[in-house]
Amino acid sequence: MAATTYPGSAVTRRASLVDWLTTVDHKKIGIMYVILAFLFFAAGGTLALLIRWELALPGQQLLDADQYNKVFSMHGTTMIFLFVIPMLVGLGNYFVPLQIGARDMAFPRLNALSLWMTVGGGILLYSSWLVPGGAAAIGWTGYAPLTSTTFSPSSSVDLWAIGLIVLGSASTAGAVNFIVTTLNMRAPGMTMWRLPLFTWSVLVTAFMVLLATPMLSGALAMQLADRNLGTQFFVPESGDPVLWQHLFWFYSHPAVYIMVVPAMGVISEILPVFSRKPIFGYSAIVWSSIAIGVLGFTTWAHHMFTTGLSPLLESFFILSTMIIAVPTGVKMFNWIFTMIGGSLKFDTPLLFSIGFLSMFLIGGLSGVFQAVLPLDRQLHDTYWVVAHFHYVIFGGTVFGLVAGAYYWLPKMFGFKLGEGLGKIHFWLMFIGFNLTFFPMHILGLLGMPRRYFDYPAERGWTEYNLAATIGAFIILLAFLVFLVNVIMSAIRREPAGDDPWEGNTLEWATTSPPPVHNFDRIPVVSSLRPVRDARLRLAGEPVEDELH
Amino acid sequence: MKKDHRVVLRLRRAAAVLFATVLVAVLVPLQAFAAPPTPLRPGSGNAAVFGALFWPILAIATVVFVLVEGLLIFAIVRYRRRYDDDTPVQVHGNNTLELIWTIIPALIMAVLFAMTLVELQKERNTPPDAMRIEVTGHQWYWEFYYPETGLKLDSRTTTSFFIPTDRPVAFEVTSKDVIHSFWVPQLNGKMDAIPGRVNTVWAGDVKPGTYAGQCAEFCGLRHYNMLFNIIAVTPEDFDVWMQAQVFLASQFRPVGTDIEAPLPSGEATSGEALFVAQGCVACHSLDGSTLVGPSMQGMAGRAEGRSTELSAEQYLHQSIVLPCEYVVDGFACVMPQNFGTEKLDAQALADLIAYLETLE
Repeated sequence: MAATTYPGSAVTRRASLVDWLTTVDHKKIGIMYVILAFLFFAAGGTLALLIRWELALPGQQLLDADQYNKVFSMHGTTMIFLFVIPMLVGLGNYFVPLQIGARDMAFPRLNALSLWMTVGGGILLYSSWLVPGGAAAIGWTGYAPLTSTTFSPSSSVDLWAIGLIVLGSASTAGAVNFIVTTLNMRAPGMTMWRLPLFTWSVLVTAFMVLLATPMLSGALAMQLADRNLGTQFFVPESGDPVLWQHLFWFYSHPAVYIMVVPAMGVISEILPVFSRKPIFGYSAIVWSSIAIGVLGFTTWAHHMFTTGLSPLLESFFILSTMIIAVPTGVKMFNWIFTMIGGSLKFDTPLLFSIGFLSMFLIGGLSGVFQAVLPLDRQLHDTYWVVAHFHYVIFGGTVFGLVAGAYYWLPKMFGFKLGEGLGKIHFWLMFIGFNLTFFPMHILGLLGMPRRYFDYPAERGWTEYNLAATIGAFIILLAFLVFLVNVIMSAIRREPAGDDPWEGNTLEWATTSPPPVHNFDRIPVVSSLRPVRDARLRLAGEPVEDELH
Repeated sequence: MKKDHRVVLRLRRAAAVLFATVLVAVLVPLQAFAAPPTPLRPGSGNAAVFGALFWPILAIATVVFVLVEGLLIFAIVRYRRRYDDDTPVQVHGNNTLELIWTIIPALIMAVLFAMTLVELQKERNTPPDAMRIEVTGHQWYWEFYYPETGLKLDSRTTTSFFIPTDRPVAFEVTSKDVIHSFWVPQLNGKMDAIPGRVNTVWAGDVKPGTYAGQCAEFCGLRHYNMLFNIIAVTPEDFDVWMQAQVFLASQFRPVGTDIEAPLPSGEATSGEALFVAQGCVACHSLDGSTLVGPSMQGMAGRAEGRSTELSAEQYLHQSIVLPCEYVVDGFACVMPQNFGTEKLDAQALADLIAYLETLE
């Protein structure tokens, strides 16, 4: 229906391989990011299952200590840098230009460069399995001086650092692209206060990437210099190993928000559509995203409460960490009140969004415990922390990403995903996720440190570890169901139509998939929900004045 | 006169060993490592802070959890779509409500911040009367140095480190290589062992008992294996233990690095125990797999003929006290070079060699 208002044209020519390799089209680039991310999700997921298999029971199961250390190091590195971030960049690439009514990103060639640098960075990181000694066993945090040539002579650490610099540079270039696109390429009438919340979240994230990532790249360059040129930035006595931690967390704490904020944006798109109500408190959501973006830079040393900070610094980082809980809480209530009073249709995207709300809440609450320094001294580097960040990144971001996949794949490929298998996917993932990660809170309280290859049976940790391992394999099952669902839906090819969900934002105003130029005529926007307005006008119903 | 002195010495030694053995047998429970080392079962005043903060915060978190999930479930049950043409009222927000759910969490955080600072203040200053123990992290063991008596122990040869309960104990933590983290959950939170820095963590009002400790910062290959016990005993028992340890240490005569030195006859079973206690197992497997160093499997057959000049015994002797003299192809010499100078006496070395010669 909406397509009659903003007509698009169907894709008539099948793209060849050369088209894909040389494309500068933001949609093709977005799809390639998503596929890349899923491949690395499979790799990182396999590593996670190896970890769980090894820890299921006391004693050696499958790996030796050295292999185990490599596996958990590459699991973290993969999931953060090669799955979550590329996935978010992929969705952003595809949908930001569509949502703001643009024909492409501001710098299409730079966009292609970012994609292929991400591919290159991934190849560099994974090629470290091939060097003598195998992949780097340094955690995803790569603390000095464990990363020095004395303790990690293998060149895999150099490949790890170079790979991350390449990935970081790709992200930085991408951030510039997102910022310029959002600020300059908006359709007529698309003011900043009519910007869809997903686009807002990508904009805030892009600013964080732009300010934080060069810090990581710089720190990694210093690490490489220490290893190869004889500098002593992070060497004890002449340099300072704790300096690495400051630089690393100055990037990596914002990185947590870089990974979460866009998923929050996805949720803020889905909830109004499936509730048939506008988002509750649009400006509060925008301002809380901005607040998180700014405050995210003030909390890094809460990862370092056990290094012996000065009392003043300790108090500052306790306070800043507690303050950041406030804007996060604001969002939570705004989301729930978007649903309250609405008309909820429980399709798969909404189920996963509700999964996000309920699981992210637990991650947020467990984070407050860690802000309380006397608690953090006990909980730090235990399985409590592993539980906490998986509730944030998996319970939050991954549930949000899967919600986004069910919501947007019909737009990207033109066919609907099966609802029945989607619901099975949701329940398996919800149960498997909680069975895997909830017991880890208890393991942390019982004193189990993270990154342990093995543990004595007498410690009393066995039952919880076994439960977590069973849960992990249920998560595997959930994603196999997802894979089957995508393949079967692709074979079935039930047409999605332009606007399968009664959407609000401009991506639903063009065909599924959209033509190369996105819109035959650039739409003119006069409210927060242009596609809904068009739908109402077409049905001859009154369109009320919206706030913005 | 001289002879009497030797008898007295021997008696004292026997008594000390007996004391130490009985003490350890009585005080260390049958389990090598105590059941869950959780701060929720505190063994000190400092660790009790955890529960004092954890339970009230858990109560607040539970209320928030029930409230928010309750609202969510309410929305799910009450507002499910009943008719296809349902059109709910288009509410865009509510400033009063939004202000409330901004201010209330902010107030909760302010209260938590105050609670945290109050508890933190109690921890800040190490009591001046605390007994100091210097703890040094190594890949992959802990070294404990009691400066008052000069006693030095490490977690490769013993897992039990005693402290007295009559005064606070301050652990001055540092590292000789990478960053480790010293953590005895039932005594206090963890403290990073950072090369070039000394961080102090202390415990007061310690109750008698065995408290499991471990490394909490990833430090490489055998990070998971830096386990130890802190055993808190009455000052009288502590003094007995300390005297016994000091006496044993004073009786220790390292064998040195001279491979010509005569050795007593070795006892393979004690050697087997030493192979574990001295930490050899960390790098040398018995099943043919390669850890850091070569496997000891089949050593009985291989030691002979490694060198034209040395017998099997002499080759093993040299490989232990001067490990870099002959390095097996494909390995680097990373083995500690202090087994002869600091760690083994002639009897222990002979026992180890006897044990290695039994490995088929």
